[in-house]
Amino acid sequence: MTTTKKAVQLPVLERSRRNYDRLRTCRRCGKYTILPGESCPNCGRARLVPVMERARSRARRKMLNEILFTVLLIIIAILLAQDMTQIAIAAGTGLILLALLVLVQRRMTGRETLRQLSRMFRYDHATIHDGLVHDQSTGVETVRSGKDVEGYHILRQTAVLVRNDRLRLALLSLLQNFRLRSDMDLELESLITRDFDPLVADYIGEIARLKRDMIKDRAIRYIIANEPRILEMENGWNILISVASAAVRMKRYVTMYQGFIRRYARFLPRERFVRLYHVVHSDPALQSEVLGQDMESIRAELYPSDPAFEPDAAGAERP
Amino acid sequence: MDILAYACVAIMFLFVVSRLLSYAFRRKKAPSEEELEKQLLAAVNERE
Ligand SMILES: [Zn+2]
Repeated sequence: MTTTKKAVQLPVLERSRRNYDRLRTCRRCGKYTILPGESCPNCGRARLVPVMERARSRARRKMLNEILFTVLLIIIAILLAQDMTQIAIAAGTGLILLALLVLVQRRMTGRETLRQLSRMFRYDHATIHDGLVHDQSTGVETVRSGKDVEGYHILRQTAVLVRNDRLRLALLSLLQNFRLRSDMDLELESLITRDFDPLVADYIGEIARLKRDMIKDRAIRYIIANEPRILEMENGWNILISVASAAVRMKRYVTMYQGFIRRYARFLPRERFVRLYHVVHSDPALQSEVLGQDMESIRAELYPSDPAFEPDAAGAERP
Repeated sequence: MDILAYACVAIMFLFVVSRLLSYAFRRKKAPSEEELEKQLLAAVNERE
């Protein structure tokens, strides 16, 4: 199976602080896209701007209109004035009100921008949805034309906003063809599907082998919830051992998923069993559980005179 | 016809005050960044 995997260089996903930072809209046709690139995927013009920028210019335009309307009223009032007193009153009141308006507007620009953004998301939700569907089909077409790494990267960018099992499985089936390495920019939690799929289990197993630290609650729970089905898989046993091996790095996981850890404790690689043994040993509560008794019997059976299990060897363990 | 000039000042006053009030009112219910993120996710994924 590993022989068919392709050695690839996966592009790093540029992450942004907020999920809408990468969404852009076309000033000409109003379509939306999350993909980078100069020209609009719909009309081809280079008039894409980030939605945040668009919202800011809308907010500013609205504020400018308010100022212009006030100035217009000042001018009309001055033109209608009959004497200098009236001109002074019109101009004086006008300028004070204008100054007040400008002052408040300046302090509100940030909030008004967010409000405009919220309006855009509300009124344009269908257009935004369609834009992302279009982005996904661009990704699928790229894959079909043989450029699977580029296609994967496109689909992955859409996954910042599109959350569904179909897209997750598409990404996973592409990842399955690549030879993954620990230095790659990989993600796990966002790819875990709602329903069980062997692709997800395989991927969790692979991550558990490559980047143990990425295995967290969601992945462990997914594996436990689907344990019988994973056992039916060709590679299932290895997946379960790998995930259990990754989970014993933290005491919290050992405590929370004791039953699961117990079922595979005996089959862990020696180094992972040593780790688990010391985790259990360091906690009287865990030690008094069935898991604690298991530890002693497995140790006595498999590693009778191994010095790594002596209490003073605990400090030398890495998580 | 000086009443027109005063009327104009009055309209200006009412307009600016209404703007200021609406800014003061919106100040409290401006969406947070988290709310916007959720709103966008809902907009994109609603038909799934
Ligand atoms: Zn366009």
